[in-house]
Amino acid sequence: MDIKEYINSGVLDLYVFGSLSPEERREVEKNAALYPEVKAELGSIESTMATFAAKHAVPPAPDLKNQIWNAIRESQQTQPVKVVSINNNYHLARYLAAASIVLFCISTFFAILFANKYKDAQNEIATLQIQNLRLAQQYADANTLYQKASFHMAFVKDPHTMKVMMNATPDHPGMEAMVYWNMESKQAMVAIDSLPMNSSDKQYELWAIPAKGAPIAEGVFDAGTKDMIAVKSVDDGVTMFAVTLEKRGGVDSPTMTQMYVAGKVNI
Amino acid sequence: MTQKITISEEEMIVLLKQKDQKTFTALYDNYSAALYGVILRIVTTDEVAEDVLQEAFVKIWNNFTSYDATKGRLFTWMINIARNLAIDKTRSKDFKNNQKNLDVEKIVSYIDSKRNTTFTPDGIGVKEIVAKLKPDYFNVVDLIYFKGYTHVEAAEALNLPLGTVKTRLRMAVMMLKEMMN
Repeated sequence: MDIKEYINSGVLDLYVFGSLSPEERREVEKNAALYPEVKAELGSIESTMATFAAKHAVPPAPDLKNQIWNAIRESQQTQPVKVVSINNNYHLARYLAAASIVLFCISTFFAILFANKYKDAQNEIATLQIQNLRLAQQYADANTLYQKASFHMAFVKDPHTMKVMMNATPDHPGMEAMVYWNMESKQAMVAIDSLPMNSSDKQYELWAIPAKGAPIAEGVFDAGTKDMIAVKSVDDGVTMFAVTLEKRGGVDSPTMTQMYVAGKVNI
Repeated sequence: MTQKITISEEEMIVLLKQKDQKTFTALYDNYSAALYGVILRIVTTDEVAEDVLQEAFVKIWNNFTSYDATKGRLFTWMINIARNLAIDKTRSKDFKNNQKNLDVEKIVSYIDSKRNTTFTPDGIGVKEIVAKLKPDYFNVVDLIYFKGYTHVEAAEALNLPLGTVKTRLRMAVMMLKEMMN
């Protein structure tokens, strides 16, 4: 290293002026330890600047000396206090930590409690909703039944409605069925309370039999209902009704051997 | 005025380890004026400069163990502490709000007016030094020594290459050395 060039670079002056970074300072200190010329020049700069500073010297106000001495003593007295305050903070931190754990436990307990209650409430609501749906369904069913029943009742009570009793044939004793026929609207309904259950491949078929001509198919139905069953409208001139058991879906003309009930219209 | 205490730096360093009021008195009497002069150059008002001087002495007193005599003179260490505290002050918000911009001429004459002439038996004042130093060199010393600029910041402020700033600083110190001796 060229010592002269190093000194002339101004880096030693910057060192004394206190404007080097810590890294640059270490570099200068290393060189000062290695090269006596560097150390000597540093000392020379320091003494120059100390003299320069002395030229700028301004004596501070006389009472400042005691004030500063008091400040120094105060700064030393506050040090142990700081330790105590750190301890206090430590204790405070411990209390806060303990308190936060307790709070955490309590809030967890209530959170679980309320979560369970919430779940119970949710289940209860679900149950109640199902019940409500069921009741609504029951009401709707009941209402439908009532509507139907009132319609049937009105139909039966209508003065123009005629009741035709169909009694058992000798081949199938102990049975009966009824046809209600409104002479004005031509609508007809059948009530089949006491017909035995039909098998799934067969169905009962109602026939309207006029005085002249072939029996007219009025519709098919299954046994086992207490409802009245609406059938096709029945024109004037019918003198008799009968029910036969036919293959499912019905046939064009009745099978006479399978006639279960039959009844005459009383005009 | 304050009596001049002549005490060597070596003796002072030994004394400082005892940390009694006598030591403080010696330290203060030896260095307070020089430190105060530098601080006053930076912060420019007595009120703030007194605060900084107090902070500096408290710091010097409490951090004395971090002073390493092998790395430089006690005074250099102390003046760097005082300068850094003064610069911190000028960068604080409060200071900036109160600061009136004084130009260099005014500061120099202000300090000269405050200076106790008994401190310059050789009769060379700051004015004479500044007058002898070319402005180009003085500006570099002023920014780095009194304003706490790094050489990089000084180069930016003076719009000069970094090398030029370093060379001028070197030249300025050489001239000062000549003047002081």
